[in-house]
Amino acid sequence: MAWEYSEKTKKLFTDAINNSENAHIGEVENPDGEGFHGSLVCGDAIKLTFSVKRDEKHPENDIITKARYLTFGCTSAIAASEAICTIMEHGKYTPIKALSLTKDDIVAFLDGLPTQKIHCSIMGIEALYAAIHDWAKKRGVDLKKFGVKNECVVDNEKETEDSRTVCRCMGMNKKYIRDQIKDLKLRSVEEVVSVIKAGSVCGSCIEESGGIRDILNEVWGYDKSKATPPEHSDQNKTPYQISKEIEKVLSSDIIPILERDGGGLEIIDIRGKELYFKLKGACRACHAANDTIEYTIQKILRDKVDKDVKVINVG
Amino acid sequence: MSKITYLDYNATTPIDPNVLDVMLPYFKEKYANPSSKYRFAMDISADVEKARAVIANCLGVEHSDEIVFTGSATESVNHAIRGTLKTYPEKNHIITTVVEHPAVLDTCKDLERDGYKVTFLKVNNNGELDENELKTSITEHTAIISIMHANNETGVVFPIGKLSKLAKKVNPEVLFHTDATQSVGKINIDLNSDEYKDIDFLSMSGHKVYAPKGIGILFSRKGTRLRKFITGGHHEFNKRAGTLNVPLILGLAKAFELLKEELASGKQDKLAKLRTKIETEITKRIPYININGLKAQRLSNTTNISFDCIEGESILFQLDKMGFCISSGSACTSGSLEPSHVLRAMHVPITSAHSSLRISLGRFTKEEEVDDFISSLPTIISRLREISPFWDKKTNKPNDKAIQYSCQN
Repeated sequence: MAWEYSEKTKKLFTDAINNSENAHIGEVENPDGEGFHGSLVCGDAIKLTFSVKRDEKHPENDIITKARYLTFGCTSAIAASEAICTIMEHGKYTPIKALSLTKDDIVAFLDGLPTQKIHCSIMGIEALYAAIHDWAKKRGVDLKKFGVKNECVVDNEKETEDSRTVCRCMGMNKKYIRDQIKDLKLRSVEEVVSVIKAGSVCGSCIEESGGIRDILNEVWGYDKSKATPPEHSDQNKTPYQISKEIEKVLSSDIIPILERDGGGLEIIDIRGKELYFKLKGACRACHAANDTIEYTIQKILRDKVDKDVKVINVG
Repeated sequence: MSKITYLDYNATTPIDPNVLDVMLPYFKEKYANPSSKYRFAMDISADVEKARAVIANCLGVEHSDEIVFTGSATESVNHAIRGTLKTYPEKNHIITTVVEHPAVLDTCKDLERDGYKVTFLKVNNNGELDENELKTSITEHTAIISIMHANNETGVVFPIGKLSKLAKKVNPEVLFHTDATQSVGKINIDLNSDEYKDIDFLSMSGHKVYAPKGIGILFSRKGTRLRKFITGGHHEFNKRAGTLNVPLILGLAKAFELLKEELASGKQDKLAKLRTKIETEITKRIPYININGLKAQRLSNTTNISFDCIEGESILFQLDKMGFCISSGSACTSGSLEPSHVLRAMHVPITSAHSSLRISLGRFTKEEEVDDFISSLPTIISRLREISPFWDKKTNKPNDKAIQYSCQN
């Protein structure tokens, strides 16, 4: 599948490649702020450096005069890096003001980005935040005073649940993934993988405990802590008991999640350990999500009812 | 349209003008349905059978009804694999490789979701299979083995003749399918020869051999049971339903005739020379590259080159602006964001897995086009490396940060 970049994106990239005088490639020598985000593994990385015109009395009023980047990545990653440097230089931003830049500003500056490429703008912003925190440290500015909570992804001095690395290949912590899921309204594992690239390399963090699926559940519903532990796994449960349990878990744990998204589920039959069902409403229309939904339903039922439960979508 | 330099023959090929000429009357005056029973239709039906015989002959197939026309190689693959599983419901195991085209890979993964067991054979750093792994994977429950003849990304050729014999030695009942989409026309395949006689099914498609898109064939050896995959009328000896695509069938037969002449004329050796020129010149002009699959037996028209520390899509974007049509095995070009599954399976270093180019030559490739490419690429690569945070401009090699990552993996 191909996608089209805006003229603006193409121009910025071309300027960069041809090293035109508008381009911001390179590194500032003895930078006042330096930040890095991404990795070779994920296929994108940005190193951002800037220098400021110092305000000796009030360092928070330093003004960014020169911003430069080095980027390993696709067309849009390079264009997004250009965008960040251009916005800050032309707008005579203070680092504090630059902290308010969001991915949306970058996307707007580029006249839009294809969905699969949104992560390129996010990556630029992350490198920028890292550079600003570096500046703050060097200049002795307490960012907290300016309403900045010191919980940037680069700040992982003490390991908390939030700073726990979830996606090891991409070096993304829980807070980062959770925030992106919320901000970008990512509702499925597939979306998380393609938009922010968490779990896109080895994939082992998707299903593991505390992994991407659990974070998704945490954000959008199905709270594990509320779940009742699996009842005593008696090998001799009768088919009637199993079917009753499946029904119970469906109505307490699964159907509410689906309904929140404007969907639903209809039980067609329960034969032994096999659940035959149809999806309703929004879920039914969304072919892309079907596999995921089936997988999730089966996983929940296997966890809670019986490890051999099989779900079959007959819709 | 501005100048186009087409170096992507593994993606698709232009229709040969001779093929087009053969097809045109069947789009115009010869429109009858070959299944009808009047003279007008029966003449066309006879043309179709002649075409089938031509194709059978080119592939060394003894009985022309072993050739069935389909809509694509993907359909043929689905037919062979799913049809076999339906024919032998008591068997539940499939063997294939990790480097197959998605036509096979995704079909097998889909069947896995249906409860079938699938063994994905691994490849080594050169992209080659381990015969022992194949041998030990075969069980009494194995219904079908599907192994591609030549890889679309790297051009690495698997010894399917040898592998099929090996498989039948372990379990004579197992069926062997090969996806020959990339090899037909580039390697001489004589299905009646001793080498290939243990191949039960072969799939290929028209648009890789200068015939149109929308037609493929499935060879299924006489005596091999295979349930119908597309049901409906009694077309194609009751093997594949659907009105025959007469113009495309005639076109494909012409394409096969041309392939046979081309193979005999030594065209592949000429392409191999051009390919070698690309590889030697690029190696000379650009440091830190890797030619993937170089040590294996390869198709003579394909080369797959990785460039350390840069990303494939941005190379393609620059090449595209200059009119070069080339594919990348890289993450960002295919809709999915993952690096090529083929290169990953070959353990291509992570420092370069994101930036592979596949250059594939064909019938109409001119030496000047290859020269153009060779002279355009170095500037693009060095500019992108200058932008890369993993490249040390002063020493012109990857910096510590890049090395750190490559060691990790």
